[in-house]
Amino acid sequence: MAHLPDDDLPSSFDIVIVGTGLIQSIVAAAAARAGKTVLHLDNNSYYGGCWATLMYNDLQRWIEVHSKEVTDEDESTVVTQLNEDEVSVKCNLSLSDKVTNLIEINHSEEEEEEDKGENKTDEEALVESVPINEEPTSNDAPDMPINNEPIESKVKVTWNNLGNQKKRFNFDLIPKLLYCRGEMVDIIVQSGVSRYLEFKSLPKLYCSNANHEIIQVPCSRADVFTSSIVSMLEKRKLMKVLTFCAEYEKHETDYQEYIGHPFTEFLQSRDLTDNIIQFILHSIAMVDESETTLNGLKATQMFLHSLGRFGNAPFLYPLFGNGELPQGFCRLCAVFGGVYCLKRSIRELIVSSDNKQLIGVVCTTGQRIQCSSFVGPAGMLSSGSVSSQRISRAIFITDGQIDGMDEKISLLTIPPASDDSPASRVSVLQLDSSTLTSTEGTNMIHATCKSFGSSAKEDLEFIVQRFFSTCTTPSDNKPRLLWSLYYNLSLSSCSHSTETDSSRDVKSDLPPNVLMVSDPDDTISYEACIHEAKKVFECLYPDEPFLPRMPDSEDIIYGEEETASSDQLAGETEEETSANQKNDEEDQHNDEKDQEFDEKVEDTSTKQNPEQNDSI
Amino acid sequence: MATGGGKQEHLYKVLVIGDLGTGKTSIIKRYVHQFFSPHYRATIGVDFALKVLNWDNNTTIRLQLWDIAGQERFGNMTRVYYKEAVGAFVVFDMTRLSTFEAVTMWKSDLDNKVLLPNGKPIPAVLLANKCDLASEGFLGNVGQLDDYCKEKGFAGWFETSAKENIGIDEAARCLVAKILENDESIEQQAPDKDVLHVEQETKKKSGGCC
Repeated sequence: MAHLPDDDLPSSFDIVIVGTGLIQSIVAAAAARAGKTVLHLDNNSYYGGCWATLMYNDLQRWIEVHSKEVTDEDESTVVTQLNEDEVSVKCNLSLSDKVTNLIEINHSEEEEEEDKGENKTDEEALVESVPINEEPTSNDAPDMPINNEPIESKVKVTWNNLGNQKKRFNFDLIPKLLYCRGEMVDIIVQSGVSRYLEFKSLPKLYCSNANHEIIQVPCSRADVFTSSIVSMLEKRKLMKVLTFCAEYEKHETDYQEYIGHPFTEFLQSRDLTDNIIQFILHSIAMVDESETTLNGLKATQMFLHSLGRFGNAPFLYPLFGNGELPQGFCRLCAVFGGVYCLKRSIRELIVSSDNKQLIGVVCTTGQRIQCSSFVGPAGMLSSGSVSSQRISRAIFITDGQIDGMDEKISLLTIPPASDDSPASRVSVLQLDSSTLTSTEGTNMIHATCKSFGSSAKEDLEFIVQRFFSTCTTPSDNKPRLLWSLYYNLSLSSCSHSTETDSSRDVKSDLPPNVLMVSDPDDTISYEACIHEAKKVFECLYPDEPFLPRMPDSEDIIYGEEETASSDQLAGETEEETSANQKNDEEDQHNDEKDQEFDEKVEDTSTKQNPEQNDSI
Repeated sequence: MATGGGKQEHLYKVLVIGDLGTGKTSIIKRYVHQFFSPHYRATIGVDFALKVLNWDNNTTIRLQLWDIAGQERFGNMTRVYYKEAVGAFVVFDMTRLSTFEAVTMWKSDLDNKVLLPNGKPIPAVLLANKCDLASEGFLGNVGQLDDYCKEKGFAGWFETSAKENIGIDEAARCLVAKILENDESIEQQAPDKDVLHVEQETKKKSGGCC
């Protein structure tokens, strides 16, 4: 069997994609699905880029890398041999300035500081707080209490004595949610990526009012009428405006004149109180005050339509974190022949000087690879129209749920306050161990907002004071804060023109077969990302279907009869072995013909909550 | 997974991992379709091959054998590949030392990314493939693999040849026995009923709006 040198990749692909962020991963999967040969690289040792969910060890490495001062790598020494009619375009490899103001705090150290007079070790402190009738555990990773009954005196959890259990944490760099009826759900179902994923729904949403009280967002007609957030008089108006938004297309004349205007102006025109406007804007539509009426209506409609599809909740959260999504699409791409290599990127694009088309790339290893298209992250090339935006992030690990957010997995939106922190809307996502992102007995709490202050800590520290118990501000009814992490992320976005735009990115001087994709946006959802992935795919392969339905491999069984099959599945790859065309028959004889067993392994319809009626 | 009437049917996800060109696909093809071709190509478009085993009179086992597709370079597996696996074959090529050296990396990646519900690593069987070419091999004394397996936590090892059909059935039986053993000893955790799969469209396409 022929082998390549261990470090070399095949020398020619239809498309090379750099970065395993979600948009690239979707494009990679769609391209492989359309029969293109795909090489997908990522400079990191993990999948997902900014969209990743990191395990504890990977997070530690990530913190280390991004805490260092950025030093320019010495790239000038490498020279690539080019032909006369070729030009090389250097790629920017150090994207490490994307993460700034990184601060990690282990609060158990503060607590030990508190306890110093008593001169206790962790274990001793732990044993003492165990209920008398229970066997104290002596190892450094005690079993967490199982919450089948209320435990009055808890084992005192600290970050330090979590020990090995820290491995079970999964940290979303940017937390997001899927609208139950959003396009992301449709795409993963259609493409078959859903087979790799499982979800939890968020049965309750909360918002915070001017007095910092946490109130449940009414998600159904019944909720609206029992909700304390609005007065009796407002209830009717709220119902009316929500009903309007749910099918706004039918009433075009009613909002026509506000189309280019902010959504707030439209809401004001509906004779609503400020209270309701704030509520719709920040807790239902989750858009900024400046958002246009049309986008505001769309967002409100998406929220309302999403209710009732999987129980009475508009959102889903993927088990193990959001990083599962890009990985699911990467797996799909690999199953259709895509080749993957992490810890590798490209350092140059090779462009023909005749027609200004990309003809190949040079890997960080120096290997030259021929390709007819390239997709990379915004910011990788100095050209192209890219804008950037800064968000503030905080991740907290606590020993309990936020008081007032009694649902284990839930979202709290804190609207911007005019006189107080925060100055922009903050999303607080509370996750428990059932999402497989935190351990039994702890909660992972994500806070995200557009940056308004000088650092993430400055922007989001108010959450600690408001919701958690710490050494400096102990409180009995608040969960204890064990660990926190703050960072700012600078996110790039690029605008894409469609084929109808004749001038294709007027300002862009990129070759036409080179496309850049955006980082995650600051919204809670995936809608913009799906649109961009579709658009990029359309630019690349305008005649190919986007992620068509996949044959169900659970229906396929390799049987005794060796039947020649029709070559229905596209996706022939140039394998590195001397590919023998005759094998096609054998390799692909698993299509429809061998479906001896027609049974479905799993019928999930019964698992879905059938309650569809109690929504707005 | 068990069905009524004393008859049991189990569905197990088994991973087949190891370096490029060690014969993973060939092993799967030999085991599942009883054929061998020296010119393998990764199967396009399917996640796994399914093998149905009549284990005993009361037990049918459906083994999903997951090939690693294009993700094998340097062992860069996605977590979704490892998820819910209950057993694994780690394959190396007896004629190439580097593939044997990579076994440790594969085993630790496996143990890092997937665990049984009781927190233990999933059972793994080591396959010393291409034993028909073993005369060219680097392993002077294959007996030393016993110690190696013990040290690295493998349930056992087998010399295999997809070409000559040696050792594969035996290795699979060994792994399945281990999986069944685990299945019995691990208290079946009640599955989390709130976990949603979104594989099927709900019948009603319209939203829940009044």
